[in-house]
Amino acid sequence: MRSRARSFRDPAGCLHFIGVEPVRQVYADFADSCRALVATSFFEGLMHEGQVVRTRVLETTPGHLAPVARPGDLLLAHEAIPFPSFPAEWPFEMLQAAASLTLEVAERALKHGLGLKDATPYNVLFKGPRPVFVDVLSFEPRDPADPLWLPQGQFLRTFLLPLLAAAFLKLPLSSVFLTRRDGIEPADLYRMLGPLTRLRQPFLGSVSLPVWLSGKAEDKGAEMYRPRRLKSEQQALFVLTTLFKGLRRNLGRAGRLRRTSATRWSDYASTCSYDRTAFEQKSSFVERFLRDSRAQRVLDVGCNTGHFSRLAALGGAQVVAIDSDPAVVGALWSQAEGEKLDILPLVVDFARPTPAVGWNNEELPSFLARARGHFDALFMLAVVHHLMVTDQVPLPEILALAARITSRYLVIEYVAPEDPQFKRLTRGRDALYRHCSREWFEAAASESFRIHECRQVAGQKRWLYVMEKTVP
Amino acid sequence: MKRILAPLAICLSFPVAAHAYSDPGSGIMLWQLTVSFFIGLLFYCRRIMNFFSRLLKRDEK
Repeated sequence: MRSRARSFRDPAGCLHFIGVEPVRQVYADFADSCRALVATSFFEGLMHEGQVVRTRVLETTPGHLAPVARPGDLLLAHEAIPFPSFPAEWPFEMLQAAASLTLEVAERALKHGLGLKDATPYNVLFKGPRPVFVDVLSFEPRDPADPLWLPQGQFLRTFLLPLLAAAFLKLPLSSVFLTRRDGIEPADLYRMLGPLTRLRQPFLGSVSLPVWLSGKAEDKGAEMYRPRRLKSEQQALFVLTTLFKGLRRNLGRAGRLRRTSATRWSDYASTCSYDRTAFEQKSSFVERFLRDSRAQRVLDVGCNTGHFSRLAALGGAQVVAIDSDPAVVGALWSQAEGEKLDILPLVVDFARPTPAVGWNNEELPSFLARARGHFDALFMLAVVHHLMVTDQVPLPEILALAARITSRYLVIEYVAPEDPQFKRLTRGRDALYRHCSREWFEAAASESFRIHECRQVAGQKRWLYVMEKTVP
Repeated sequence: MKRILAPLAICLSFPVAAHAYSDPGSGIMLWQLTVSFFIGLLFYCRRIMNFFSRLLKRDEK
């Protein structure tokens, strides 16, 4: 049951998919407060600013849901987010943006007597570069005299501590989110820090003190979690807003902790072998393709600086750009967010894409499952030789996967074994790739594609191709 | 020196109590409660200070 697999944890409701349209079933006990929430000006305001997913109440039950809908249930139709992505695929900047949005939504909800039940990155999806809060059931009415935000622990574990680990220890976010649903515990991070670092903020308040107090906390047991009420609602509000400010400050500190150093690919633009003319020629080739094909949804594999993703986005397409280096993906996100380009950059290694993760191995679908059939154009520029040599994937396999992903076009750059970059990758094992001639490449491509256009990049042993899929 | 080292060695050979059914998030909760308590106090301190500063301003006038 695909639709139930993804959001079965919430006792207040679950999510179904009718085609690509998400429909949320809110159970009878929670239906009234949810209906009231959706009608408030607060919620309308959040939707209008694009911070919360567009939602409307469905007055009639769609046919598909008739077997599962119960009397008294509320059905909400949500706007479909074009390409869902998960924290394991986000660079540092995107996780930080999702954290910032969660805090902002929680702060604004506070002023309207509402709170968030949980604070996890899985409540946020990205529409292009913009984070959108999607878990509408997370909102609940709160006691105005309650000075505590119970999800703070989860916020720390799933947002702040992974960000601190990524910034300070260069821990890849994928290693946290692929293996753990609920993030990192303070004790895990504590072990990795030196004694002096443990005494510095932001680690002191977020890591060290919780660890030092954990023994005492264990002794207190369940009594510690009893609901608390202060005599003054203003005091409770003051405590909470101060807590949120503190969390925001820590988020900022995490950003500043990042020791910016060159990663393997971050200085590609200055070190790659293209000269200006060749690059401009490649650029205009892609621009012409975009104009002629009117591609609507583009996947740019190995996007690096995102130059071609940018061209596609400026041409009106929705772009998903993937690269295995989080630093370049993060830089592309900052650029896309600043220029308001419809580019969703993700940290995905095309040779080892994000697997299906979670309960039953189906809670979060794999990258390829989400990508298949979603894109009408696939860019594989300056990437095929890396897949062939570094990742040892045979070319027919690469082309077969490309044919499964794209629904129409493939823009691919063939790199001959004589190319200096290719030679650098083979590390002397040139003999293995001697058979990879252009004729061989074209023959392999013709199994699934029809070649529309071919152009040699001036002065290089590289050819650009536009191909169209012939197999279903 | 040996008189110090021997008891130390004995102490080190006893493992820290392992929490069999522990709630790993409890340390965060206790710290949050502590911080909230002090912020709550700060609320009243600020109120008192605001009261006195208003009083002083009125005296000046």
